[in-house]
Amino acid sequence: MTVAHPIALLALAGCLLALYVHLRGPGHESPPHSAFVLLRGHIDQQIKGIRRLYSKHLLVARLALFMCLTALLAGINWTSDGGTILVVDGPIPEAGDWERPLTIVRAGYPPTQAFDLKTVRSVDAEPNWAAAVSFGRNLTPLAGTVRLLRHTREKKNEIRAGAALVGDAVVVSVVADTVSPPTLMIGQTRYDLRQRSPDWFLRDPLESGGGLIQIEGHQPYPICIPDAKPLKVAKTGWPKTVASLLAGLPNVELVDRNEAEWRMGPALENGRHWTPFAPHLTHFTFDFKGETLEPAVLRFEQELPPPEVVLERWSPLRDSSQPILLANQAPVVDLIRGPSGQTRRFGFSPDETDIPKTAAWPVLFFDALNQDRERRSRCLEIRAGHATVLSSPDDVRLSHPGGRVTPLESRNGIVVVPALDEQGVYTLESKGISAYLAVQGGVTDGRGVVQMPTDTVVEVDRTVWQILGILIGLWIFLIPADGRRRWLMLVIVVLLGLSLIPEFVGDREAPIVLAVDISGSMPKKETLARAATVQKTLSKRLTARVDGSDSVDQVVRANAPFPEFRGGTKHAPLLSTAAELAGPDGVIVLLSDGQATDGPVPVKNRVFTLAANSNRPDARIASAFGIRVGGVRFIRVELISDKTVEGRLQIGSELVDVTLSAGEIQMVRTVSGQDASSVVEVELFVDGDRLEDNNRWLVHVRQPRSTKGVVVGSNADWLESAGLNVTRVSPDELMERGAEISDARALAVIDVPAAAIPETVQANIRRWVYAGGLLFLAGQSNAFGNGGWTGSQLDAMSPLNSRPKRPNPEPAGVVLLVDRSGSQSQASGGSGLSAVADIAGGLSGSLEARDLVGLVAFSGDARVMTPLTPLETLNAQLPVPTLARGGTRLGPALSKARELLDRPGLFKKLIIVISDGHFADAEQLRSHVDRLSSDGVSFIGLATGKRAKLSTMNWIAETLGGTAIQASGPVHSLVLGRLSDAIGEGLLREGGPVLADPSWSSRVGGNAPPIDGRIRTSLRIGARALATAGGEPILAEWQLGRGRVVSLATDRWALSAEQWANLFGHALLPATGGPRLRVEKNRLWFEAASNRPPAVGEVIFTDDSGRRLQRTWTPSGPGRSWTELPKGRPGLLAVSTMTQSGAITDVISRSYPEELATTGVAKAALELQAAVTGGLSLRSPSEIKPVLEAAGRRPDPLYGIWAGLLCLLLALFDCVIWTRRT
Amino acid sequence: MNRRDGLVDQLTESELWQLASQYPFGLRRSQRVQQAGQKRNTQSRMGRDFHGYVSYRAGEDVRHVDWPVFARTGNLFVRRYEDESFGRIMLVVDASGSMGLNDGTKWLWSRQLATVLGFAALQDGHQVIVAICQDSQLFFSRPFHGQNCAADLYSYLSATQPTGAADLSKAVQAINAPAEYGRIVFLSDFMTDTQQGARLSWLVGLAGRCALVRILEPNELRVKMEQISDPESSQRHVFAHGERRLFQSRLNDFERAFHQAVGRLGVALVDLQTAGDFQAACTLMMAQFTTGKTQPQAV
Repeated sequence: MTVAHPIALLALAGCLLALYVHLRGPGHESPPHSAFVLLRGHIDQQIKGIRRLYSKHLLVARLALFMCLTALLAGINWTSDGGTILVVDGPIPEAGDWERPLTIVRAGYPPTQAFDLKTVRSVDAEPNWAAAVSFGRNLTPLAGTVRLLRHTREKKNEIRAGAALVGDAVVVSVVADTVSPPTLMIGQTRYDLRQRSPDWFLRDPLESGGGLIQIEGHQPYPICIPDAKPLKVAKTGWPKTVASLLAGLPNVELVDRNEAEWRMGPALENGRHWTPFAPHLTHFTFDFKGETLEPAVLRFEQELPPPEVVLERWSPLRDSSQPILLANQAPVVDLIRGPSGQTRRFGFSPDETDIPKTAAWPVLFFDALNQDRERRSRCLEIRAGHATVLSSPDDVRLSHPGGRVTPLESRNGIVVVPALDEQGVYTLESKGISAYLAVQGGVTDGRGVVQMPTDTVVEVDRTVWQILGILIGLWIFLIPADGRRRWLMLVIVVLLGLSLIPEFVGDREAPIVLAVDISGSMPKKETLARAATVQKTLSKRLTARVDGSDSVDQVVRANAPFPEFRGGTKHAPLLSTAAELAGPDGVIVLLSDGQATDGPVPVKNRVFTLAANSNRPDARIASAFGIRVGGVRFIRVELISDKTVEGRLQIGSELVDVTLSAGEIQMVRTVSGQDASSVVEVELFVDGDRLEDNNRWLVHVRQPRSTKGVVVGSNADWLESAGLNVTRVSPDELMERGAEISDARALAVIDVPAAAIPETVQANIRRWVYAGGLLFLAGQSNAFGNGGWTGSQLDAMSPLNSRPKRPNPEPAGVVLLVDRSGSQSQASGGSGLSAVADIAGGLSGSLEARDLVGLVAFSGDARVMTPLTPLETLNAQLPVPTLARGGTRLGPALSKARELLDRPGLFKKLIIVISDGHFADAEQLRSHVDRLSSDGVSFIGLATGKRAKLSTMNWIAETLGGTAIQASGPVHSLVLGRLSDAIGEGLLREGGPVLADPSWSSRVGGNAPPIDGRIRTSLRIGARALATAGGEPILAEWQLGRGRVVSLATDRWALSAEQWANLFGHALLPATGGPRLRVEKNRLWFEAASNRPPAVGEVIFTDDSGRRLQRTWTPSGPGRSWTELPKGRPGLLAVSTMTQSGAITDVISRSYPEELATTGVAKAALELQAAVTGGLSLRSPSEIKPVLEAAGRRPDPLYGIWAGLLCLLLALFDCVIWTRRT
Repeated sequence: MNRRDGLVDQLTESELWQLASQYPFGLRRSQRVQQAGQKRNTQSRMGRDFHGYVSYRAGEDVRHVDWPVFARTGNLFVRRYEDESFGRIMLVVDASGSMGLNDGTKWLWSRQLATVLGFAALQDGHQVIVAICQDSQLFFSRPFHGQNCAADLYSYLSATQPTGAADLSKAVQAINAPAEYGRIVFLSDFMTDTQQGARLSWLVGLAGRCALVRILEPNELRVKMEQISDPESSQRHVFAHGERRLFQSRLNDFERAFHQAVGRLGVALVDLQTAGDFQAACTLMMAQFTTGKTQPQAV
């Protein structure tokens, strides 16, 4: 027998109190009198002491009785000397020296009893300690000790694996400490993996579904294998821009609409949850509902480069569950999923926007394509210990890896798969369709072993009896022995009799347990108030309270103080512990904000959820980003609030007033040229903010490593004002200083003739752009058409075609008259006839496809080498004439040319003479020229060679209209340069106003200033115009590979520094591609291409104070690994790691805990939690009636009978004593 | 005012304040100050002259502690300032077990009368100190000054429950600086002092400037039961045959001696019984302190 139990101690203290009261209290009916003072002397002299009126024997008897009563009451919970509860999370090899009998409890979801320590199945999730302890207590209330035993997991036996789609195959990557090759089992098919340091990999078009990586001596690891087969897409019905894109996307099979997985169609039902049994069908809708909304800038919901597109006409999508593209924070492209398929909705018509001209367009569809190919595997990777919610109208059968089958009921179209604690592939079946759950363990994010008072028992149903017993004992002990005693005894007997009726004492109703979420996101003040109201309302009906966040913090009686509010939100530990305390028919009241990460928990008890609402706002900094460009610092801060509030934002030393609308992201940008610090503290001040921990952010102001810009030509100040570190290079130096281009982020070629840049250098520039560089092509007098760019690599890269668009639909006729006399030979100082071939190659850049081209070779006579032929059929092939002996006679050639050009339908006739100008028939040319003049033929003469003579050609040019020039450089560029001028209406134009295109605001911003002059160009197909002047583009851009080319058809334009910075923004950002580090939800991700191995090994973090912290990469698939960020206050962390892709060093910003990133009440989650257990979502703590109604009766009469009998015995005994005394 | 069978229910602070506002409070100024031709009081420092130092007592406003002196000497001293206009009153309230007799009506009257008296004094700008007399000790309140202290005064009195013995003679000894404390009012049942031959002998030193308010229950001076207990201790006594009558005669002697002592010392006595009307009792008591109605006792 022990008195260690609190109740027994309390009773003993009660005995002492009773004895004191007995001695102090009146033993008889002696009314107090104030004049007693007059008796003191009398008493002292005559009585000498206090006379006791009570019998000592009666006192002893009463004390003994009271002790017996206490012993009975406390004895229920006395700890016996034998018995141990062992709570384990896996097999324990050897039993310790524990008191027997042993009760073994597996701390799984839910806790279960085991009978052999060595064969306990491993719990691969965070062990459910608190619930297991409560479960063990229920099994063995008399056990003296509870021991939590952790199963030792050897790190070297862990497997990390993942699979990803790469083109038309699946790549599987496995990282494990093994020398024997891993195998992948998909169903009964086995695949062997090949070694590649540091991982094992496999690339194959595998069968989709759930796969298991097996290595001898390791626990098998489950992964999902995506479906690599091409996606069937409808041939018809698409908007024009979508159809043209789909035709070019890889892994797409165009089929009839009825067979297609992607097709146009009405929106299908939105199910919000995973739909493993839905058909492989995706409908596309492009709905612009005609709403008049402000033009909005598009951005991806995920971390992808912004499309830099402004939507003019768009509609926000209602009831969106998975947004993809946002406009003004409203979803305009999203994905909804339901049991009958999924729908990809567009809130605008792509044909009306210029998004198809951006890189975002193929990215959007490419991602969607791969997502939907993967989805067809009907497989989901989840973490052990997390519940899963499915949309399924039918019941589902869940097959465990061991073969056990659990039926899951569908309620309102929703099926909840409870938390699965064992790693493996689970199969879900419904109506003949199989789906898979790859439950992966080994990742725990709780706070380890729960600090549960294992030596304290929470009595869930005996409180009333204990209190009643003690009160009765005290009453019997203290009642005065006067005439009214018999009536009091009678009352006692009646009361004790009544107490045997369960309804009278109210003890047999089912217990109610209050589970309180005390995670960091809960509003403390409101939570305490709500908990107090519930406790007050339920008063003694409340048997216990469980407080916890991501694990259970304490199990206490009602009204006990709360521990600190901290940590993430998980409902499984909280509710499973509450379920064990509540017993089979108890009721749980869950006070939470519903932000649980482990889904609804299908416990057996009814759960009534109560939201922790708060009237106070929570405004927070959603993200903050800083970059320094040159001397200018740009800071961008995204703010969000759950209520409309006004506040102030401090960015460094600047203070900005902000107004936040409920649920909308407010973006604040500042530009500062003063502050040189690389760390900027951002803090948001809002009155009455309920969570202030998420109002602070430390921004690391990035300075792109390479902001070097190379300028070839003039106007270097444009790049300098954008913040680039400019190096000026002359065209001649380009070849020698090529290395300087390769490490620059931007190259500007401004007003430089193409001929000045060697072809090889141009080819290098092209490769550099494709690798991610920014090329800026600009100029007027010596660029584009005037700079001989036509046909060059520069022209090919430019989004602005050097040849302006010709309005006239009729073709032009051009006849080349090539002198093939002996003087043209290079040996004789001529230019050579190979120039003809060059001219032919460049014609397509100066002429349009429909234009007609002919070639006449002349010496002593003239010969038509090529009649007038459309350029498109000529296919850049002009025959090169051979040299001939004899003099040079132009007359016959002009005559032949006239014959060729004498045909209707030519809007322009042009002859080009290439000769040294020494014509034997110079005096007889008048008649020919006059005839040509009457036919409206223009003339271009090129005097080539060392003995070039211009006089005759000048005369012809003056007569016919045109030009004659002496060729000192390459002939073909001179010809082509003049050709555009001659065919068109001239290239140079005066200055004038500039019209900003829709994309101007997102790419450049501000007003478009007028230009002082420009060169005519035209926009290439696929390029995006940013500004036009006189109806022709002057500023345009496009994407080439990973790089970008911006073309400007002038060299005189006064943009502001910020506008230049925006325009060259691509160069200011780090180059895309390659492995990168990304922070998401308190994890640091390493992301490389899927054909690369994941990162393994160590990551070194160094915090603000210089403390070094080491973490290990956890590989999660091909090219992907993650590691937990070290916990701590918001600040900066320097990251350093060595990967297969090389060493990576970076500085990242550690923000507030993820728990504080989503605050407020997730009403839907709470309603779902209540619904899956048959409970209700309560609106206020006062609406507790349904809880009381749900608390059913619990048969437990034995205890009541014993207690009643004892009290009756007490009363009878007391009556006997009283009878004897009287 | 709530009334029930002649008993006063617990009055709220505002009700007591209303009651007190009916009575103007007249109090002559301190002799010393009067002799100097000025109207002065001490304690508060606003617009007043420094008077000197006194030792710090628990409950005093720590703002008045002279910290430089404390730094030099290690002793806590409070600066005293002479007020230009106001008088001072001390309310000594008996909180012994006998005041809580039966349902505690005596204590309630005593406490509420002290409150009314204190409120009236505060209202007239006087300074009030409350001294609770319990277990032969005096528990001094901090000096209350100004109407905004009314709530504190009320709370101070309300926080006490009558228990134990009270020895008013020892209480008077504790008031060791008569001139400092101005006028003194004792509220008690004065059922004490059995061992001393001369009744109220402890009052001799203060007779010139104190008043007594006696509160008794109806028939408290009659002994009808066969056994009685001591409200201030656990003692009880059963009267033997004829002993009760003897005890009654002793009680009558005691009462007679008390009134003789009051007359001999010339102190003002207000004799109240809880069976009466509370407001009338207030009027009767306040008549002792109201200018114009009766001659106030000079301090």
